[in-house]
Amino acid sequence: MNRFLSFLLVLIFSAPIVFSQSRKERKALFESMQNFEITTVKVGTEGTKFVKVWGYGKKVDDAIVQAKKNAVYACIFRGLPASSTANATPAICRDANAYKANQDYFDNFFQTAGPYIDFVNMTTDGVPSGQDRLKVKKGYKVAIYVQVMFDNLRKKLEADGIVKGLSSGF
Amino acid sequence: MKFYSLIIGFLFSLVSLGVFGQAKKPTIMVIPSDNWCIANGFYSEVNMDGVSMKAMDYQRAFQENSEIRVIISKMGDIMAARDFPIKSTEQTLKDMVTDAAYISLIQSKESGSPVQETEIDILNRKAKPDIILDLDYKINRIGPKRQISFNLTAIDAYSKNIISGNTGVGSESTAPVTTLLEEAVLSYMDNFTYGLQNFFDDMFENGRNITVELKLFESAAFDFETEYEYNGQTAELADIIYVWFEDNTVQGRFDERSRSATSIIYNDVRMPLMGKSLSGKERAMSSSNYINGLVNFLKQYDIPAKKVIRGQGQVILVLGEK
Repeated sequence: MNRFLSFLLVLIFSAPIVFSQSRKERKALFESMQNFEITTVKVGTEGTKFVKVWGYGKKVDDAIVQAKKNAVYACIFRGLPASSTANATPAICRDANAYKANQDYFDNFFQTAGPYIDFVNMTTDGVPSGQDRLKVKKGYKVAIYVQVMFDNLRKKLEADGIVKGLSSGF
Repeated sequence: MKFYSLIIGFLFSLVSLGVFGQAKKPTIMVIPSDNWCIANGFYSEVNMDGVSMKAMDYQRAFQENSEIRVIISKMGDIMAARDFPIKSTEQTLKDMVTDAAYISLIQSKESGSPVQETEIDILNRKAKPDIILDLDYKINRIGPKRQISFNLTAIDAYSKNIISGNTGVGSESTAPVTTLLEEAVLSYMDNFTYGLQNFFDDMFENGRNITVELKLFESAAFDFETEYEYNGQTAELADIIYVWFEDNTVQGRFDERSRSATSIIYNDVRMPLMGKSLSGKERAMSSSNYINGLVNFLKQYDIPAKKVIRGQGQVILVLGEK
């Protein structure tokens, strides 16, 4: 009997821990820079990339800010996927550990309204609606169309010594 | 003590950066593919020893086809923005004609002697890119719309390794062909330069990839199977040369593609990018500087050698005479 009671007690006390972990995981996913979807819409004009990117936020405005960061983040670290109308674009940073290796630089770069904003041109006007604005648990998931100034972004990272230029070494 | 080692380390890193800043830059040229030239009629039939072959007429292609000019111009623009300009094939072809005429007119002031030029010199004046961008595209018609099939392959001119391949089909559109071609270039260039960067990174890490061919003059009194003394043992000349390559390539990396009594071909010879020039100073090494090491090594066996250099990646060494 005593055994059964202690097992029941352990189960009752451990339940919140289990649930809090899953909440923690959800929160981590919600706030993670890597957790987003992006698609290439079409070939951009010279030096630019035209993408549809999703972002999460407690408010729609927060989600839009996050989506802009995500667009730049994808260009630097993830690369842009191919679509039926455009070829894939490889990431500017070829080193998978580039963020960690330059943690301070990128933490500052991706601060809200930080340097990343210079490379984002939003092409949708106003607040996303319909299929591009989804209410999710504790916030919103929105999609925006963004023109990323890809060549300027690459040049900035080259000038700051984060990535090598094509002609470096010659 | 730690402070001094830090300073020494810093100075060494500065030196190595300076040194790497001097590596020889490969020449890149866009050349229309044989497939494209034949499909568009830019070729002529030639008879080589009774065998009919198609010779591509690149000059006429550049003069008569405006689409290829649009593509090359766009690619040139993008590469120039990356500080890596493409050499114009059209202008190089023009220069070859004018250079020949110009050189034939040069003569000395006193005796009126013309410039010495061998057949090899004439061959060397030909366009010799280190990296060839083989370009092929096709315009497909789908009702009122057009679609571009695009294929851009970067090839190492010496090893013939494919550095970067980009192929695909663009979107259907009623836009003018030039717009579609520009769009195709924009769509593929980032992927293409990524492949190129991989190639350069590999080159800086593992050395430049060159091909070395060893031949014999008919007058040579020896061949590659002739035995010589090496380190107190007797060995065939081909084996002694093999050991030289083992000792003088980055991480001993090279491939002996073929060997006979009269010829040896080494492929994928990874020569170091830096080495000592004749002045004894550390300099970016060319394939010519590199092979000087072998020429000097062979002198101890009284073997003279004539070297013929083709671009940055191919050396032909003919033994037996100068």
